[in-house]
Amino acid sequence: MFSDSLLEKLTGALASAETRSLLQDEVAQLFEQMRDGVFRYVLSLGLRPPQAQETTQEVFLRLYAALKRSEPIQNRRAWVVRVAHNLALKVRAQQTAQSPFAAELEARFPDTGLNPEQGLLERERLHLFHRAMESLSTQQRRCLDLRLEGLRYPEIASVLGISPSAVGEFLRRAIVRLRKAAHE
Amino acid sequence: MSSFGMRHPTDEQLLYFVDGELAVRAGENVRGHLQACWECRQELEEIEHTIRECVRYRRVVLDACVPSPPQPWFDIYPRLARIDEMQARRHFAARVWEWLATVWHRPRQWVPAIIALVLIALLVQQLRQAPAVQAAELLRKAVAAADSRPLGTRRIRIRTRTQHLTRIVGPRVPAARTSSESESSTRLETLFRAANYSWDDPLSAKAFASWRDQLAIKHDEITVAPDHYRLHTVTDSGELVEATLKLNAADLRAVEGTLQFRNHELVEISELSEVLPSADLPVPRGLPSADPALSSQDAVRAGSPVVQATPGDELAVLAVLHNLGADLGDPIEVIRAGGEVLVSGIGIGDARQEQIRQQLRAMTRVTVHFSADPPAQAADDRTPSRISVGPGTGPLQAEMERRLGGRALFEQFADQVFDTTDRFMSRAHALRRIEQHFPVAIEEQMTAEDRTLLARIREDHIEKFLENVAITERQIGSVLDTTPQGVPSLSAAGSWQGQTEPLFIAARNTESLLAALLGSSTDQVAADLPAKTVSSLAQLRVCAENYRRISASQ
Repeated sequence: MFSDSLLEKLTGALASAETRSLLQDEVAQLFEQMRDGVFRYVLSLGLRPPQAQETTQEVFLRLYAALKRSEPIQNRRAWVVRVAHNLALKVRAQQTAQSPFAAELEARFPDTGLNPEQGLLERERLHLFHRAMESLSTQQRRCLDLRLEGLRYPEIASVLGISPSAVGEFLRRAIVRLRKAAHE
Repeated sequence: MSSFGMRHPTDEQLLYFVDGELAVRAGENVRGHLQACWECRQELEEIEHTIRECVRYRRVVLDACVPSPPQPWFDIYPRLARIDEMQARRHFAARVWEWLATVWHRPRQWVPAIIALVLIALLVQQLRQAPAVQAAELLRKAVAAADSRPLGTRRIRIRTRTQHLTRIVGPRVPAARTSSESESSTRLETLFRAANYSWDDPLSAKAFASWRDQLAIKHDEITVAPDHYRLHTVTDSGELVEATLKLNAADLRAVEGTLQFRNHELVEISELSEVLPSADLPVPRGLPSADPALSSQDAVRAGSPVVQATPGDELAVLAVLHNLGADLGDPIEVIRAGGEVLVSGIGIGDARQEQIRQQLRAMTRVTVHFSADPPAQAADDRTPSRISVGPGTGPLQAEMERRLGGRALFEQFADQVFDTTDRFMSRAHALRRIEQHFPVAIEEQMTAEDRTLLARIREDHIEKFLENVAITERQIGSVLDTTPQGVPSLSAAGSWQGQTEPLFIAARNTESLLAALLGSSTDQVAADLPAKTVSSLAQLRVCAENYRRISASQ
């Protein structure tokens, strides 16, 4: 019915479609898992929400294109955050006229559902902790944000372009600063 | 932060442990320690509590306040498909070009590396063949150069992980141990002898060559720098498994050495001062005065009796330095070695040098040798670290500021306290040095006159020490309403030598507490810091009074 050459062509096309689909699935799955964290992270770098969302989406398309080109990417998670970090800084640099996003957290501490007295104490604690967070240096804060997103020290190091031991040191200093607020 | 010799993990190690970033073995060590140590478990709990607070902060505050994306997230599949289409539509040449570009970009990373690797491989190949010959030749030349130099002595410093000692080495120095070498050096000497490495002159090409020559299997490496050669030899046989010798390029003089023994003892040897030619050394008392040019080396060779410097000679030098106030911080070292007392110092001002030389000129069996080099980082802790009030202040400092009437007055007060602390610490260092020079066994050999002189120097130091401790107590008492607790009673047991180290340790502890109290260090910040500081000062006073009483009774 089919000639051998046609059969080969069909098999090749199916295999190619299957490969492409698998890769797409992998990227789509990663997008699903990471987009909120990446969005939050690029917001923390000073992007406004629309640019933050655009940047986040762009990163995953770039990941797919890179994988299609067979670029060696050993750790996709770290790659995504690193590219998001660099892209966000580039976007931010082009938009210096705009003030970066800054959530007015102090005015927006959520209602914790406790009784008024407990609620007041809780808000006071959060306020103190927020102040301590604000006092962290940029690098301490970035390391902490990325650690909170679940990245390991070497991954954070690759995102920020520093050594894993420097990540450890920034985190240690951050914890020292926050510890006092956490225990009050 | 050590109790019963326990080594607690640092807070960084604990954080690494919590985050699972420690290597397996290190992690097991920390886990094992935590099972035994309540203090570290609490520390760990506090770190974990802080991490929990971070997570809670993010969940309760940040997540609630961070805006949602303004648009729904795009459906990624059509976008990915478009990328596929674009790639498929591209001309074959474009794809080839892209592939070439990729290939081109990658080799720029690995081609230089490959070239470098090839070069290194060639170099290593060359060095692997050559070093054995080069090392033997270099050592032969260095030994010949050493033999051609005038006979002399020099001062070397030997450091291990736990101790350091200064030695005078050279042909004039007898093999017998000098007073400045502690008994613990016996262990080192035994180690050297077991390794067939010369203890008499360990920082020499000859010692290195003798050790190296007797090795059946060895591997040499030579590093050449503009000003020096570094010879590194590794072996599997014997007690010494690795040795490095640094030779001056100009005269092939051995200036630095590192020895790694099989028992993991690491010994570093460095030259402290230049070679003292024999002719520069004074003729010891007891030699025929008719020929003043005759060196003591000549005397030894001729079999003439050489009068060795005594502890009394050493004491006389120390007394002179004490009268000049040169025993309270000047980087001056006094060593009794061979037939003389060697007074040396690095980075002493010209006027001060002249003052000391003038006072010591009349003394026989004394050599003064000052080096013009700037003072090196002191290996021992005789110089008190400079303390300054940091800009940050905690509640304690704020309270003191309030009592004193403001920040400026507090800083002035802190400076005064640090000045008196420096003064009593310099006396503590001086007393410690005296104890190191005159342990019980040496003191017993001294004449009654010398012992009286020694007691007078001690008395002077301890009186000034007590004076400054009392001033500090008054200063601290003026800002703190705390009563000292746990003050021990006076006792007059033991020797003054035995009381010296506890006194020194107590002084150093008090210094640390004062630094923490005044906001200059965060080492010991705690609620009971004022009480601990006041009690520590009172204990220090009692300790010093004990010392004075015992010292006077001996």
